[in-house]
Amino acid sequence: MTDYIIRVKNLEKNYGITKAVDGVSFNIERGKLVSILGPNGAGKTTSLECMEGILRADGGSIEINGEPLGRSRRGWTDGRVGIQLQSSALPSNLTVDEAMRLFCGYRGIPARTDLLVRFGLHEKLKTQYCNLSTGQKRRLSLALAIIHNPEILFLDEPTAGLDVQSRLELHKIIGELKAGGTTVILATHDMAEAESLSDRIIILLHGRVAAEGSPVEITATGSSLSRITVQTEKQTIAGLSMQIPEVESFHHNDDYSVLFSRDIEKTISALLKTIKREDDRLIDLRIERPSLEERFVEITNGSGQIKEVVS
Amino acid sequence: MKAFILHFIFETKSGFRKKQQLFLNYFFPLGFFLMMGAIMPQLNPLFLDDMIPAMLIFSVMASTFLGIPDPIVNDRTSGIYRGYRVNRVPSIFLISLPVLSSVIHMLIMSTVILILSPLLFGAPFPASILPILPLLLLTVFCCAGISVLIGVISTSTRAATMLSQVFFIPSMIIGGLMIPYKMLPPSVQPFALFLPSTHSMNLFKTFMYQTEASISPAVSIAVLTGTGTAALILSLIFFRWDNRKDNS
Repeated sequence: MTDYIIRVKNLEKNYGITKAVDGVSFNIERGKLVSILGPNGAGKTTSLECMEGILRADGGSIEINGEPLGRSRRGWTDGRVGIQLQSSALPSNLTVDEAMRLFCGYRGIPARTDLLVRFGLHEKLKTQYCNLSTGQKRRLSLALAIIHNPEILFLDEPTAGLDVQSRLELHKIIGELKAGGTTVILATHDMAEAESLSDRIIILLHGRVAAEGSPVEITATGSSLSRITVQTEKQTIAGLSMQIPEVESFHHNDDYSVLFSRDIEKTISALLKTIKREDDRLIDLRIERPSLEERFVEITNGSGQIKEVVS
Repeated sequence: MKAFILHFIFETKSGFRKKQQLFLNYFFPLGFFLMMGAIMPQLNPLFLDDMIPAMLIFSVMASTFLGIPDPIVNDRTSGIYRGYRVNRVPSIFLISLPVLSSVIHMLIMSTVILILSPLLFGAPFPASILPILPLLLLTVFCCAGISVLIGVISTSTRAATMLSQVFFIPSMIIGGLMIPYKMLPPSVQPFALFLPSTHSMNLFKTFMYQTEASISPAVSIAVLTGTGTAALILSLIFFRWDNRKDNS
């Protein structure tokens, strides 16, 4: 039986007459990293903040560790939950060391200087928050969110606005947390980040779940064509590719034949038969599935129309 | 408790680290004190009799009415309170810490005023200095309580500044700092009774210089205590972690 640490059922949240979250349901497995994707206003942060207990849901239910989240019991009050908010800050003149001691104090634990070392902030102990770089601020924020070794960690766009190096550093840390058994719920706009880090992806659109599945499942189920790049000794493929029924289009690029197929398995099989029949020899073969970004664009269809729901 | 003490130490340090706080806690009151000491005795020699309590109360008002509301609004709008919330900082701490750190700053500032007033300007030293501490605490409690409430209910720093001035400016004019309560026109005196500074001046003069009270000291103590308590209770009731309407 699957061990779900979070269960969200028919979650609803309204801001006035606007339905920010409209009947969202999903389950999150213990120890997995789940990304919540969606365009601006899709309901990512609202859903996250309902799970965190910062916002009160107007309908539906949320269970954390099998216990319902309610007015008397909120996510952040649970010692097993860690939260890094999208828009939060620390007092500008609070030093890294003071921040760590202060928040550990509120959790009733000794200062976690080990985390500052791990997150590369040990040389910034006396630096005030306002003098840290954006990457350092995010790392400090993440360190403070996990001082109590939470079982569940909510991260709301943790890498927004970071340079490539800081982003990679943060990805490494998130990966380590997941490897350590922490369940991570990540809201992000970054498709590459979601694709590389996530076990599962939930795409929200207009406050509803538009797609849900593993990154491979999500990218595989769309109508986008897979790209197959082939190089053979005699280049026999060039003239025969369009005879394969599953190939939608073809072009030649240097010594390579590039095919766009709607069925990888059948196309590859046909290609290999053709190469053998023509007494040719395969030099290179590459298969590229549509990226999550392409699939995301397809789901949101540019105009925001839901095209398909994967479950 | 350890966390509260750490937070209190940090809050107090902020009064020195933040330029705006440092200015309002120390440089502004000190500059005003020096200016008034140099000018007012020439215009009104009787001013020296009230100089020490007037400058003590002015320092408290500058530090609280001008110094407390803006940081509360800024901390709320910039997400600092949201960060505190998810790290389990109780709202009562955020309400009480500005009050307590103001006490520390005002103790330092009061010492400076008490020493410099007689030395620089020949102001009479209080007949009794023992009442200074409780009276100062009472004044800070009331003014800081009102200031915290202003910060809590204001949606912007602009609104906070305007509300602060509603207390600060009338206190300066009719609150007994420049003109003694008894010398105010009878039509103005009832309005002055609504200002904390009127009651603080009444208490400081009565207990520090053993002069005849303009208003019953019991009434002044009750007004300052009651106002401060009510303001802090209302602050707790109206406290918001961020500017959004929905913050359960």
